[in-house]
Amino acid sequence: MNAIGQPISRFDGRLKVTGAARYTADIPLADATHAAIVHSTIANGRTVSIDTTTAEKAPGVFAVFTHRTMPRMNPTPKPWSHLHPHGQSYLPLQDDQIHYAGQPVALVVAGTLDQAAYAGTLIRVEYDARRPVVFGSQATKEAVDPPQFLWPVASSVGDADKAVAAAAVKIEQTYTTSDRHHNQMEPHATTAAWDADGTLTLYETTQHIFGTRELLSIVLGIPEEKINVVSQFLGGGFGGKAYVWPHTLLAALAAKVLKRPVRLQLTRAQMYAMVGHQPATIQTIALGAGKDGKLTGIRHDSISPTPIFDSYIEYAGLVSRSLWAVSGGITTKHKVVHVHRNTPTAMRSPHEALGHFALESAMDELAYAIGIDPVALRLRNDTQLDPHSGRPFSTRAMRECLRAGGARFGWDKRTPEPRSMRDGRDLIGQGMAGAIYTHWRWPAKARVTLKRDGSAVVETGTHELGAGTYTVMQQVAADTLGLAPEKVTVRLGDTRLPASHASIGSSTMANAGASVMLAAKAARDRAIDLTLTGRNAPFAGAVRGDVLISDGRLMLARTNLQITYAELLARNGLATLVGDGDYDPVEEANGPKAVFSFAAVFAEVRVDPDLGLVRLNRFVGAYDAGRIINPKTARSQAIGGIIWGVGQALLEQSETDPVLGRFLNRNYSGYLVPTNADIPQLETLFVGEFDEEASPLGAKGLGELTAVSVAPAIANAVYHATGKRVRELPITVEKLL
Amino acid sequence: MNPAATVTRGTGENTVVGDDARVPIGLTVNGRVRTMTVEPRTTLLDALRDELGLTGTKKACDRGECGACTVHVDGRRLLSCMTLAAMQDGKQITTIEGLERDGNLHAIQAAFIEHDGFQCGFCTPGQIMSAVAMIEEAKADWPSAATTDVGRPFTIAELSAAEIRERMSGNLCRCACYPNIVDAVAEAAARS
Repeated sequence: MNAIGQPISRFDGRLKVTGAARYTADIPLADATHAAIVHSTIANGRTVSIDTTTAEKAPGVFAVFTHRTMPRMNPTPKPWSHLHPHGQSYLPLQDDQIHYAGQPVALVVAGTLDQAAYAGTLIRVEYDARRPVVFGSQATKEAVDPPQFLWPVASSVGDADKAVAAAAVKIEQTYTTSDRHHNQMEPHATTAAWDADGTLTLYETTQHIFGTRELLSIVLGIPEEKINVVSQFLGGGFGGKAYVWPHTLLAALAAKVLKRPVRLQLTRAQMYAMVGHQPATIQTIALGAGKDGKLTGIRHDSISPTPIFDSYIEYAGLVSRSLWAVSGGITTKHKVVHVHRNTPTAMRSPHEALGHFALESAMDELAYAIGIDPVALRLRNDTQLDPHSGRPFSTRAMRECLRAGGARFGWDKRTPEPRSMRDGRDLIGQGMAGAIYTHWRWPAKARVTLKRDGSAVVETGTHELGAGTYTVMQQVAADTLGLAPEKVTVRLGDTRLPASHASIGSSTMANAGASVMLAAKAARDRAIDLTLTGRNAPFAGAVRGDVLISDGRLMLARTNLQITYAELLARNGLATLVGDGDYDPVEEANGPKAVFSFAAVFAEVRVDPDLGLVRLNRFVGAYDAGRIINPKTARSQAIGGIIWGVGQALLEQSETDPVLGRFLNRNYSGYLVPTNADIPQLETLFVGEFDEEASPLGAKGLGELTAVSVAPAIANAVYHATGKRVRELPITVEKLL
Repeated sequence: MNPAATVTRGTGENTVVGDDARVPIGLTVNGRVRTMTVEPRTTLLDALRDELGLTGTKKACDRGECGACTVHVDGRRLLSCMTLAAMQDGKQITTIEGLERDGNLHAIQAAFIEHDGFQCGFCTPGQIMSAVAMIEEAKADWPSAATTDVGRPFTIAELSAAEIRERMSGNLCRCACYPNIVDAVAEAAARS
């Protein structure tokens, strides 16, 4: 029986379509109080006075906290680590300083949400305001070198400057991407409850329960074993719920002081400043190539904004280090500009989706400069060796992505000249792009328990963000144990379960999945042991390799001997049989091969020649994400990624007031995301194969990959349709008029 | 950097509501009469979630932009964040918890599972409540902005993918399952 590879419907589907799935803000708690944040209206300066007297007397109010009354926190740990990731180092309500608009200046706790929100309006704040620094036209002059964050800030292989200078064909352009906000449907929410013995249970909208626990332990000064973090269903994460943000700390401390549970759900508008966002980038690319289109040099520099107090780096240049073969040299460099805003963070797909817009747009410009087909140009620069590390790729099906994707799209019917394709009065444009995505290897633990009734339970501290984690873990355990999937129950999202890693970087399947497979193997092997050497062992004297398992039945090859898991446990007087899985892989950078996912994507747009309105007509994505565990949920992730990219390409931008320094369009009316009517049918192809370097499951990352290179494919299609090269995202109508 | 003028914020001189006045209301929710007292400013959404514990209805934007809080009031889809609970006194409310019949999923719910019309699931109750009402609207011959000829009555046979996309566009999905949602709604509409 093979559950892996089958398009199985979601294990948690019924809970989700009936409203029974409980998200963080849905958890019922007796005595829960409601908190509301009052935030700064200025972006730089300090509070001179905060008058809370009227608010404190308002009906239902338990307490009002300001920087004078909020208990002190320990500093966030240095260096930053995925093991205890703070969203920002500057902690809330600890001093009178204001470093960004929307910063908390007070927290009201009341009996009902309306009481808390109303009392918040009664607080009178006096500021000493200063003019904020914003990310703007002087950015290139104010940019500084940041300290290393996730990867080295700069990279150099060969001599890119010399190669570009000497190249027969050169493309040198600047490309920009906009500030964007995750805007998950589910607002960030926290419910903090302290037991009488000092144990904190935190119901949290997080992609990283164990990282949340560790950071809270450090900042709040309480032992880890006194903290439980729970996140069983997450209403979308996209990177924005991976790290710990200030409001979580406030809720935990307020609950401790008041000795009552505190629930704090951010408003939609507050999500623009209380939690992270994707910073804008200004990227400069120089490509050098021969007349045959073979790349000789790439220089890729990027500048992005970061707060006064942190150095978050958007590694837009990462893509240029490894996507295409380059004979002469590659350099990448990242700088930041310190401005008055909150700390940016990872947003689907961090680094890559921004860098690909620049690189794959420049590749399209190169194709036109030389007069070569964009697909042919990519094929000519394909490589099986990572130019950055010199290591061979574990698997790289770029050629197959280009071939299969192009064939499905009908790329051969495209006429290359801009404005050469029309449908009635509309201009039709077709564009494409290649894509690469980093593979993350992280340790993960899991436990699988076989029960006497023949069922099994999987327990692991990973998360369900929407990727289908409950379902794919069920499939992995079922196949490994030789059980039908419906016999397997999966428990996730609680720090009382075996420790897993953050659900970020498209890493859950490859890593948490591997731990589940190892745990199921361990349980299965213990069962096989019992058939060979246990009480009244049915296969006594046989060799392990001859024991087969199917549908919960252990069978000895070439005999009629068999026994079910249930009978085996009963015979041995066992209520359960437990297997532990401890997946502890070598870090990707230290492995023998370079592990990445790949894609080639093809877009067709329709452009109204009078209005400049761009509509996506159709889209084909071909993906090498290794072995696909569940084609149904994988396709859903892929179409979601494509649409995420459509937002980046055509709609999404968080606008900053140049004087006040605050985000302006803090709602779904001002910040446009794709709607159902914006999206045509989308086609996805999976062309990858089992990748043993990536994971024992053979899977590579998928979710983020699918949001990469949508924007350049659309931008290239817009150029093909109109003859206008738009180098600033999003591609809004005024840029085409 | 130049110091700017000192600014102040707040409405400290505002009159505080004298007491925590609550008003009694009665709603028929999923076929059950529910009486409660609510603050006059409490939305139907907050009353369903906080007073009745019906947390299937989600708060995502709280200002009528995303559709996650969609419920049925007297059979029509309505954004529960955009109406006060006190305004719905005496009305028939259906929430996502009220769609199942005798343990059987509504056809739309089953179609959402089959077509994988959701990922994280947070917008799903709103999508499903919207879809159920939307099919009824189409059956009642209501046209939409996607209807090509509004000069004659719309018929449900004309409920194309483009019609469904338009009629479901009040419900945002950030995981972006839109094509699957269209497939689910189309199948359920065809069956009904």
